Amino acid sequence: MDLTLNDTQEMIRDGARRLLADSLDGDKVREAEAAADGFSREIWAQMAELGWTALALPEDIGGGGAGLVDLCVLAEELGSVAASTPLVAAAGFSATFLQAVEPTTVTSDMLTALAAGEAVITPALVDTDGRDERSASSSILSSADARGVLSGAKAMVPYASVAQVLLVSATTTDGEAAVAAVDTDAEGVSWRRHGTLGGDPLFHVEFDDVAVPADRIVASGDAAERAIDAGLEAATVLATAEAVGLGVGMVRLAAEYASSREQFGQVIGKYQAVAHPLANMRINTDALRLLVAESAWLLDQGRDATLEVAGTKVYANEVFADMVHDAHSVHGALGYTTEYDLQLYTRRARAFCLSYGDTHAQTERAAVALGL
Amino acid sequence: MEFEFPAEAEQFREELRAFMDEELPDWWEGLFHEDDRIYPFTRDFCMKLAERDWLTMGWPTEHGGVDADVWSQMVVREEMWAAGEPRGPQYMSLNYIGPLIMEFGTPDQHERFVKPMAAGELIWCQGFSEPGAGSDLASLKTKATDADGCFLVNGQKIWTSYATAADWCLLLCRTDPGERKHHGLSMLLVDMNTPGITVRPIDSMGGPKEFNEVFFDDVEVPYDCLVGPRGDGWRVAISALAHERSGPALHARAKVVLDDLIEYAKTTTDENGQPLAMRGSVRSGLVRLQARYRAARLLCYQVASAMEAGDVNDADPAVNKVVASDLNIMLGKIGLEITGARGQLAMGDGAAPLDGLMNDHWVHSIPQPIAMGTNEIQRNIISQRGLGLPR
Repeated sequence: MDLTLNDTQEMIRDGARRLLADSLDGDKVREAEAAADGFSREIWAQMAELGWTALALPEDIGGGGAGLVDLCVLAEELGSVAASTPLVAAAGFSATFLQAVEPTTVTSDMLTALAAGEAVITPALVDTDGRDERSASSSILSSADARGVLSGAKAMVPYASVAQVLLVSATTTDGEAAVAAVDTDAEGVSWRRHGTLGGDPLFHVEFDDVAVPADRIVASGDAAERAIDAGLEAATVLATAEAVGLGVGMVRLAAEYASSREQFGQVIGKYQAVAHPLANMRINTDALRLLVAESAWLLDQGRDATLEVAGTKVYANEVFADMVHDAHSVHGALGYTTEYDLQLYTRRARAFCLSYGDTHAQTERAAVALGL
Repeated sequence: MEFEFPAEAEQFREELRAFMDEELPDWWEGLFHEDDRIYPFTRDFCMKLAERDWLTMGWPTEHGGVDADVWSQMVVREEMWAAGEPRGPQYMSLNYIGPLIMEFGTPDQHERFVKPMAAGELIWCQGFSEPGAGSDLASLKTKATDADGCFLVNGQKIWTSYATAADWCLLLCRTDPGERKHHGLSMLLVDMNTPGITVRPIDSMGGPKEFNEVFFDDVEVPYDCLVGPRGDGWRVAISALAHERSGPALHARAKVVLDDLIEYAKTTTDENGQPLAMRGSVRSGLVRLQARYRAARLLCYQVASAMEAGDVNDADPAVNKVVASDLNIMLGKIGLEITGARGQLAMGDGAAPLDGLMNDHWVHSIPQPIAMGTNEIQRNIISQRGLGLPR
């Protein structure tokens, strides 16, 4: 048992802090959010250059050979400056999914592309009328003349406009689950960006009779469901690590503000009505950091961690739904303005609670894992 | 980071559990219950632990310990608290009074106090809180004045656990009045059999044995019972409180209660013949408790990891204390609701669900945010020393 960061993890943390302090601030985050792709290619390229995007991929294909627990350290640092990147989608979901399916030339090529750094491969799982990533898909994959045809639409596809490949969940005409690897430049693929609470780039993607060669159907049946589940577990953990970072950012901003803002002749941080909610923010952030790390560590060990991943997400959803209001209360009206950074964190933290498993879905998963 | 106990510690846990299965009598329900057999039993139990080197395993060898690693010590903390703390009053003194005397005491005091403590022979109580000095401990008024070759102690302490059973009292008092409140305090070791000491039990929600008032009326305390420098008692007390907060593994008892509650929900059917565990609200409550239990456990381990690395900060034990005590409050709240109307029935009443476990847990959860430094004080520590907010 050792809950301190090891040398590798400290190196990742310190390296991330250095890079992000130099290259990212609130204005840059706003700029990326406002861009059509919602994406800072500059940050992503720097992360790829440093090997971060491929940190948890095996060394033999050019990855960093680290674990999800190490990747979580990086995700927290990104969250702490409200950076929005495809890390959760690509390194969390797609890398894990592609390692969980039966390997083929197509899947190895995709993994090699991810290991090389800048590639963005992203999940397209949520139906336009679906509740979440795990709901059965109404997109139809039919086959004619030994080649598949995909038709349907997906909502909330992260970073679709900069991705090279989408991993699309579908149902075959036989009623089986399947996942198709669809190139974004394939004929019949089109998208528009959603307006969202968090401001991170999510897209509505249409698949209008898109041709899918047999070898691009990367998983089917139970194996597809299992691989999607593995990908979602990793993505959920990584997204929660990022949310812990958002919590760190909110605590930092609120503590700075409470230490400088004066009312009734003294700084407001001296009032316990202000200081104690801030202490609670810190308490919950500390607790969640450990819950996330334990979940990641269990997954790295190849153990079942449904109870830990889902239970942590339930706790996190509850904490962040409240924490954002505590952070706003400390800041008064100022925190509500868009020129102040707080809203970058609170909007994203609230959106996090609805992503990768809302409270109802994750409570049910955890309850089953608890034997209820 | 690694989230697994060392194999040796897990093996030790098995040995310890087997020993406890053997030693704990059928009537044992826990330290905080009313039964005259409790204190004598805990003293015998501690002496048996001492024979096996398990009582003070974390102490250095020269003081009767075996320099055990923090994870073996954690096993003891967890298993004991989970079983209702059969070490009795000694869990507290072993945790911080022994180390305090080792750190601040003279070689003569080591010989006199530390050795018999390592053998499980001494019961202590802590004389800190006073009617007018709770969270603001440094404002205490009990005074020790110089008399004929000794201190003369006068004053009153309150909320003193185990005072009826204690052989000695660790007494924080004022030796030099008139200075600023944190100065002029001293730490004395007081023989509870000294004439002039009166112990009056305070009946509480937890039963008649949990707390006492202790009155000191011209109590003579020899000068060689001063521990640490005269007038520097605050520093000695702060060191003691830091050890105290990393004391009982509060999460371990919560786990026992939560597991029983989960089993109850799975095996008890409602009026429609459905298990309670199928109700959405019950599922939600148990899942939330389970996550908070994990949080309290890991925060406790984080403090232990930091101790092992020699790098403990002030905020982490405070964070752990708030989360662990809040967990127990939430467990009482959700657990009582799950047991329903009969949840209010007392232990021993045949009709009480889980034999009144949730009722009992709720009562004993009340002091948790208050004892060992209130959660408000902990939040002050976190906001000032953890977040750098102004005092």
